[in-house]
Amino acid sequence: MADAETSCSLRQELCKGLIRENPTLVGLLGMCPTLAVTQEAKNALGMGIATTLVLIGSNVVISLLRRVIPQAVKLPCYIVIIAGFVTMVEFLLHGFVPELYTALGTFLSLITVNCIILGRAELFACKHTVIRSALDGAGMGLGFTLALLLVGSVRELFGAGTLFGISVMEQNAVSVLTLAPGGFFVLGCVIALVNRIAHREPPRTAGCTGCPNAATCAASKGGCSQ
Amino acid sequence: MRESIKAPLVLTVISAAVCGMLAFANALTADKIAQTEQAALQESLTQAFGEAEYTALPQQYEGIHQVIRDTDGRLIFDVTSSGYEKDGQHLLIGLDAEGAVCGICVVSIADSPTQAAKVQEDAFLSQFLGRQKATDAYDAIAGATKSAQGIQNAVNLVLETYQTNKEAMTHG
Repeated sequence: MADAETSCSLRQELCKGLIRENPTLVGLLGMCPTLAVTQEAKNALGMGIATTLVLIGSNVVISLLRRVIPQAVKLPCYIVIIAGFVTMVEFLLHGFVPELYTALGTFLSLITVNCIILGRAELFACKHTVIRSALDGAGMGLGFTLALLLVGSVRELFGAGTLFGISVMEQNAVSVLTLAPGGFFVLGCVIALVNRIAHREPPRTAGCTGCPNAATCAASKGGCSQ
Repeated sequence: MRESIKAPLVLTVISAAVCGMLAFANALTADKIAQTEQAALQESLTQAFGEAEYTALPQQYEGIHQVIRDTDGRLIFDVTSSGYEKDGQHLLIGLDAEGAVCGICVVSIADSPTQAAKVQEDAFLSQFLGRQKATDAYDAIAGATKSAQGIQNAVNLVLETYQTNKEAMTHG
């Protein structure tokens, strides 16, 4: 019985980031790469995978060191660990996928300051076991990748008439969708769609109601009011 | 252990461990990255300056990776410049036999994709063609100011280096 509960709970850790607590579409975190690299689905997928690798790695290491890292230097330690993983991912992409490395440009280095990664380290990895932290990182990373892929596919398909570089409907492309205003428009539509699927209503009262991080937040120190 | 000692000690140990991991990752990927960059350089040379035999000059010049001479006597300068990211622009700048800029090729650029696309447009790069002397005057690009400045700086560096070392480069 306990095993079934544990396995169900582990599955929940992995799945919560996909829709219910999706960091981009529900938590509205990581907006900068979401808008900047989603002109093409291929780049969006690459950025999503790179961020997922960093999320899993940093969550695992931070969870392993959670009893060792003193409160006073918590944030510098997290940043050093995250920056280390980002640089390793940069090395790998530069050597093995140079086209993607060039396409992502400076946004690859900026994964270090992606608030999803620091957010999961601070809210989750520093309080939970390695396995749960790894699953949380994988789930949040997949959720981020899914969001980027959705926005990127729509922008590339309707903005450039191609999908993953393959010509689909170039004659009817609406090129504004590949520009910044199109990015905001598509992101808004995708957020609305996900809210519809998840049956989320806008919060009617201010406070923790409706906040996707309310459960984690309340479990830690009694809520965000403290 | 006292907190005032423990905190910086832990941070130092973690930083050292991360540095060690990075050194290991660098050792694993350095050869592959060098191969990839060499292939990209060769491809860019062929694309920008045509099929020819390219020979690197033995001399080293400050701020320039290498100077390559082709069979037509053109000199191609392999340089990096800083746009929004330090040393993030890898450029090939060609000078003809008269010492005038005859081509600029952006091998890689680490600025954002939009900024990178703007400075690679012919409308921007063509203003440098034919230039023989370093100058501060150029048409920048709104939204990619530093990227454009990086290319302008690289062109000036190449022209100044050529003027100073003309003899050695053309007859060396």
